[in-house]
Amino acid sequence: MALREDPEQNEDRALARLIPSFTGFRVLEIGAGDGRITRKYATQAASIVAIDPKVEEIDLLRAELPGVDARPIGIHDLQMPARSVDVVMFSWSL
Amino acid sequence: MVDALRTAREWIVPSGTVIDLHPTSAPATVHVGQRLAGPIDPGGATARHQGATEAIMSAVRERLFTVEDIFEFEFSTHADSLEELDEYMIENFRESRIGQVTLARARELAGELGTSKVSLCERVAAARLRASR
Repeated sequence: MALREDPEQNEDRALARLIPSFTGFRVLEIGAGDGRITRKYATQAASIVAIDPKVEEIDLLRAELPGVDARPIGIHDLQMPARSVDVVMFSWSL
Repeated sequence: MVDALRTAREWIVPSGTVIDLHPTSAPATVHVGQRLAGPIDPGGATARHQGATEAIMSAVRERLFTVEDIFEFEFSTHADSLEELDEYMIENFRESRIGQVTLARARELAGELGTSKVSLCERVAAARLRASR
């Protein structure tokens, strides 16, 4: 059997407590990796920019979630207009 | 780290939200079955995770954000063997490793319990911050 991350779904419950619904939100996710957290809200958000400096992981995220604007960069290389997102999420990346 | 929060503050709309999830400074632990084998060797991760917590507190002191919710939860990663868990940590962790003492204890427990199934348990800090106007 493959390695299993959080089969207890504690992270899912934590995310649901933090933001019960992402509907309509423009989200910037920093440290998105392969999209483990992104996929939990991707169908709800109005738009998602997901960044991570690990190219291979961003490639996986992009392949699974083609609607996400996935970029293989870190926060210091990201250019974003001021006041352009509703939610910034640091996914194990602060 | 607080610089990242200052930057985030510029990108979000007034009264926008910052969500943060990061491991706490408590070392993750390795378990065999339900039994504790011991803490991992965190390397520099402890200081880094403490730094993330301090960055949030600094951002709050600077009145960039207010804390709306903050709590901890457990994040477990389950593997079929110590070797599989070790490989996972090498691949996903910058410097944290199982460590020799915990590895030896985990092998003892695996023999005692007759199972190779192991898990890594991390405490994670979760916070919802609201941008101050």
